[in-house]
Amino acid sequence: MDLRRLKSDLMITGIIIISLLGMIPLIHIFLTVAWRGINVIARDPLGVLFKEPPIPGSEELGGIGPHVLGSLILISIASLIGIPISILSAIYTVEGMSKRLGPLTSLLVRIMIEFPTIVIGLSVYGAVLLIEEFINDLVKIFGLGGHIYIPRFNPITGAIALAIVMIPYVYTQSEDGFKNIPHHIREAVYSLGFSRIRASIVLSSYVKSALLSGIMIGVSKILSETAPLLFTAFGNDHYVTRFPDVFLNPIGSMTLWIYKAGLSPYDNWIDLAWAAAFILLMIILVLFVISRYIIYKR
Amino acid sequence: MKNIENSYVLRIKDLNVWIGDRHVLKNINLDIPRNTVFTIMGPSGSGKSTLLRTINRIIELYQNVKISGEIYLENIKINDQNTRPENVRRLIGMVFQIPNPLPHLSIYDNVALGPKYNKLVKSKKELDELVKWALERAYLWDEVKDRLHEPARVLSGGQQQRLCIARALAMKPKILLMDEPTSNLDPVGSSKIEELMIELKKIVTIILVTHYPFQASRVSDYVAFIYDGQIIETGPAEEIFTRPKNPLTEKFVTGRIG
Repeated sequence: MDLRRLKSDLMITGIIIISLLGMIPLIHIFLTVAWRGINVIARDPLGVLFKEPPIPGSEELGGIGPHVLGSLILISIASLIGIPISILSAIYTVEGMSKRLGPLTSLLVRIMIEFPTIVIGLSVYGAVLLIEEFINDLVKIFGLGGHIYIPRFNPITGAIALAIVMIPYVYTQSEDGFKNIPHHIREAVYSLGFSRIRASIVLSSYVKSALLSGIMIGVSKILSETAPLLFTAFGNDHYVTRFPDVFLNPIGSMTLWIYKAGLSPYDNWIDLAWAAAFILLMIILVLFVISRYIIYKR
Repeated sequence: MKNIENSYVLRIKDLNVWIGDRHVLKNINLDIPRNTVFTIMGPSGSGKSTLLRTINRIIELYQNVKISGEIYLENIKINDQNTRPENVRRLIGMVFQIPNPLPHLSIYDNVALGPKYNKLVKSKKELDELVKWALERAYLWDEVKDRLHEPARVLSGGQQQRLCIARALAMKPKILLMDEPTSNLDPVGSSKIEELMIELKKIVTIILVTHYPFQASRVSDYVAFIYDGQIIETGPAEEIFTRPKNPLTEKFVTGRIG
């Protein structure tokens, strides 16, 4: 065997070993979460998904029902707020609605990606306090009695914080999608006498896979967020079923539960933290596979 | 005098276009007679496509473009701030160099898109009839009538280009701009499009851009020769091809520049 061949084989073997080493932590995390999580869920699958958390330290397993539901509510509201804003901003930037503000929007949204998410949660909390103070000042000025209280910890503030986290991810994918539309397609659409808004709608259908993968990435991102929820959703181990109480009270989320229960000294809570981690991991994995598939199809 | 005015569907007066610092079109003056094939020919980079894109204001999609001069469609000025570009584009259709049907839409939807969203039809039945009419005019109906709901991307290049013509015709435009519509097609596809142009001028005025003098001689009623952003010579096709006045025009039509 000649020396060149030997060197090449050695390099390739080295690269494979280093890649495998790099994957060890990832595989370890995945297997640990899966092993621990499945063991807990297998004890009472429906209970884990639907019951409320148990008394800490008791023999009871209970479940993370309010947190699963809470995550669903938070993600849904955040998506309703974040997705339209992101896609409309991307259209605004790329379709040249404003020659000056467009590039500025693009720059600012890209900076937003770097914001620490805990600061976003804190800002939303701060904003609620400021609004409350402003309203109470008005109440005083107009001589009305009493004190107006705005609930800080509820699904709406939580969802707003998550939407802010989500926007740059959905935006960048959408912006790239619109930017990559070939000139001849854009010209074809505009040549049919559509206004910019109508043309943008038609072009959106052309880039729908970019938009969808952006949405998937954005949703996976906020599914795994804890920090923005600490000062907003706050966490709640119980179902709140009555309307409108559900929108005025703290709400649970799987990530907040993992944070709280994982740090606790109680075995049954820690078990449920593993269960939550596994459910979360599975949802994110599915979303990731869907988004990769969409990108691959593009 | 009035009759002469009315026989022109489009009039361009002192048109100048700058893209960035480059003066791309210089003092263009053209009168386009109704229901003719009017060809703008010239070598690559002479400003032909820019001129077409200025007429239907597609050029305004791009930045750093400055335009002066006047364009009248049937005596109405169409290139001022008071006229919305989309209204101009509804009346002036365009077919591009690259066949560009929207690949994610069906054959039917490609043709129906314009009339549907611009509310040119009142019912589904009316839309179906319009789609059929446009596809027939573009000599495509017989080839696609059984697969209207297949994606447009399955068609051949020539068919795609005829689909684009049908798409433009469905808007019932007054003028059809054709920007080198055959340059990406094989000879069979090209000759079909050329036949089509001669047939279509009965219902719409065609402004064709080409850098093939032979194509221009086959289909045109009138020709303008453009070189380096300036109209060098314009007149009836027969005159330009048999008795060109300008030596540059002569060089171009005889294939010595291009």
